[in-house]
Amino acid sequence: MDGGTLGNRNRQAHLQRSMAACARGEEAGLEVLYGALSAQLFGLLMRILQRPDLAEEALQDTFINIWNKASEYRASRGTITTWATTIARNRAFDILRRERRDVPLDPLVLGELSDILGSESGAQEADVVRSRAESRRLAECLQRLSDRQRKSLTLAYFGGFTQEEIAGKLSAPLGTVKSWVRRALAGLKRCLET
Amino acid sequence: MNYARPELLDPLAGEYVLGHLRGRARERFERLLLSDVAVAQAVTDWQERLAPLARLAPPVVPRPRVWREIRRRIAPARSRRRPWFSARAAAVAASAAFLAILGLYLARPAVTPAPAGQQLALLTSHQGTPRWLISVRGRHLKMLTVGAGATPPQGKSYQLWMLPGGGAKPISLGLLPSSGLASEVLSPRQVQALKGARGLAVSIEPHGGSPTGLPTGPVVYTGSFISG
Repeated sequence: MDGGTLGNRNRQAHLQRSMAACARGEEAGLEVLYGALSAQLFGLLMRILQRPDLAEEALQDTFINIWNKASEYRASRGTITTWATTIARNRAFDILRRERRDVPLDPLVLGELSDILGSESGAQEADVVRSRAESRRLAECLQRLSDRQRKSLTLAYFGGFTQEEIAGKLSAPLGTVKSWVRRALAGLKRCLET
Repeated sequence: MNYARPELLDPLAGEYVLGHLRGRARERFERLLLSDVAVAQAVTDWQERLAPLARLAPPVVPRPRVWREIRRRIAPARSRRRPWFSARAAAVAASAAFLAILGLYLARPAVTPAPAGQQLALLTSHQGTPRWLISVRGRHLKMLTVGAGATPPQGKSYQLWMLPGGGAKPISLGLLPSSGLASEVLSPRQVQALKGARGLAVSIEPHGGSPTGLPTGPVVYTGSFISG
């Protein structure tokens, strides 16, 4: 997560220049960001929303949001990819609430990671491989959590569920869910730091 | 709670990133987030730590129509041949607060449009709170504080910049007053650059203004012109 490779630094610098162009109102900047981020964000939105029409709506809103908020982005507050992902997740959760969560839950939301880890495709660009390696490491750390700790985390991160809602889904008292979430976060951090 | 202790701050920051802080706990945390670097850093760390989760979802290329629709939605700023106009300025202009302030400023009924040849912009915080009304007519720039005004941090000044189109660097329009009204007479170069400007931004600079002639501090307020 140090973003240490030259390729990654170049990519970040390129995205930051594009973000500055957006802040000046230059559409070419947004086009670069769209080219770099849309497939990853759309993949995520499809998992969360499960319906192409809703995922397309969320993706459009995400990039309109990026365009409007470009001048507010601060590199000190994380990478552009993470910033854009946060915007996309929040938009998806808004849409889920509007649709009254009338979508089936993806295995990813339910913390069932095996099918995803098994679906590595062939040769890919270096930074894609690197980011997949980071994801794989995180997924391995998630696998070490207890089933319910992991589910509590993924239901929140991918599903936008509150602790009360998770308590309902996992048929557990609220206090127990709170401690699952806390232990999941602590366990994840410990695992990633070793 | 003592947020300075990492063992207390860290789980809270993680829960915040997951969206699990609610109500007053969330409000309290967000206030700290704005004022406390350690809190902001803890949140950034959790966002970056969890970011690879999002990439567990395999990429899916969206249909071309999605980008076409995005282009269409950001297009009004270009296609109407009104370079001062933007969706954000339209939203500001539509707000009752803006009309009321505009009305006060012009000492006319609130619905009267600005006189021809005058450009107006409202500078707002990222949360949308209005701070200054900027007007330009010919070479005359006026900066009027709105509401309680805004006092810069000690030893600092708020500096106003225009953002020219076409990738050019920001151009200073002077220092903003913390109360009342301030006026500037613009140079022909500034007037010329304003014609293609995309927007305005306010940065926090050392007292008396940026020593480099370019913004050096964070941008804390922004605005766009609307043509009169």
